[in-house]
Amino acid sequence: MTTPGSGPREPRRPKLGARTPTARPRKVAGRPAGTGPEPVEPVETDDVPAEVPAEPVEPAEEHEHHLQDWPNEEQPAPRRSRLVTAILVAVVVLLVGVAAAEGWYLWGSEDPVVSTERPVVIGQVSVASAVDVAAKSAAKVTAWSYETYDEDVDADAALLTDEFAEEFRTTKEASREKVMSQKLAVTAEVAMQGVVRASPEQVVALVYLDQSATKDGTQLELRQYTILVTVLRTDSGWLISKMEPF
Amino acid sequence: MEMAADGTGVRPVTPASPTPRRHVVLYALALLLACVCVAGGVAVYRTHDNRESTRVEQERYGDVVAAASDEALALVNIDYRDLDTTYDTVRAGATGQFLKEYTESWDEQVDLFKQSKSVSTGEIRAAAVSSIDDDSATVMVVVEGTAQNTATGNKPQQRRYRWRLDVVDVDGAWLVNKLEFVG
Repeated sequence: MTTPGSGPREPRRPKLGARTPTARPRKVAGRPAGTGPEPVEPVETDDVPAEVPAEPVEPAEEHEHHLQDWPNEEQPAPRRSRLVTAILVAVVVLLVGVAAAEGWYLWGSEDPVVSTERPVVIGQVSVASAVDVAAKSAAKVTAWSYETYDEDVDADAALLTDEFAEEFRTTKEASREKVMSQKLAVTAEVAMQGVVRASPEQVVALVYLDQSATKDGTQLELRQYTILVTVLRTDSGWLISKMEPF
Repeated sequence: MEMAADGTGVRPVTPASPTPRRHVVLYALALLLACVCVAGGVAVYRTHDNRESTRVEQERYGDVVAAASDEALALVNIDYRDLDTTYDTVRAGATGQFLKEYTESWDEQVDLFKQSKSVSTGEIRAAAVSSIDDDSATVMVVVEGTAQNTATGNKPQQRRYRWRLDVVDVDGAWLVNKLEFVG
């Protein structure tokens, strides 16, 4: 090893000193100054194993050696370089894929949908407030009096979606005559309320409602209702879009 | 290999200098992406945990409604010729105070059903969750159906019940421990 190595060592030494004057001291910092070039030598042989036997014969011909040395070093370098590039590109592509998958999981995957197994897909607090609005609004809409009939209609309509409010006004207008002539009044009380299903935009509540009515001051029979109340999320909060008493 | 390249100063001389620059860019990009992936991985892990517990919490609504509805159906579907089925089904979905009361009053009820030749059917008109936590819930169940017996002249009569059922988690099964009529 040392014999063939001594060949390339000679011509290379000046090269080192000329181009990277600071590189050499750093490299051999841990070794005695005299052995400075030594570590270079055995490693060097790796790169030019085939060249070495021929070289020792002409140690003085520096330039020629270089010319012969370059092509040999250059041949594997681009190949290696291309390989490294390919590996790096593959790693980058892989990482992009992983990042994309993570992004999809975090932001792209669909929100859960309402089903029989999972009737509620929003938080408990949101559910409670929506159901509360549904029950209170339903009770308010169900209670009215001949004395404040028109005001009641206006106040109640504000609790409903535009579409349902229109329908509501039509119904109320149709029964106005009867209510006035018979002096009817109704009070309603929520006996129990709960959630049937709930999504971010729409909540269906079940309301047990107890309704008592008076006709010209005379108490009528107490009626127990169950109502399915649908509320929709709007800019002005939860509004009733449907009431299905049964 | 690298040491050799450095030691001999081959690398700085190499004319193919765009190669290392390309590598540096790719290395940097890979490093940056690796950081993104690690941060994303942590976020995914946390989100997954969150979504799982949310799913469990929300499916509980479905579970308690199903349990209360099954029990309600078991209670209203009665045939005086096959009372054992009713008894077994109701008891299987009951626990605590409700199970105790039902069991204790059964003999009395059997006599009543047989004497009046009771046949009743029913279905769930609506059900909702009034309140819920990890191991208990209050469920509203509206049952609609028909009942016929000697008192109705053996003709089916419409019935509707507004029920409130309290259910509790007993070893993973939701069982009814209280039932009452509302109103």
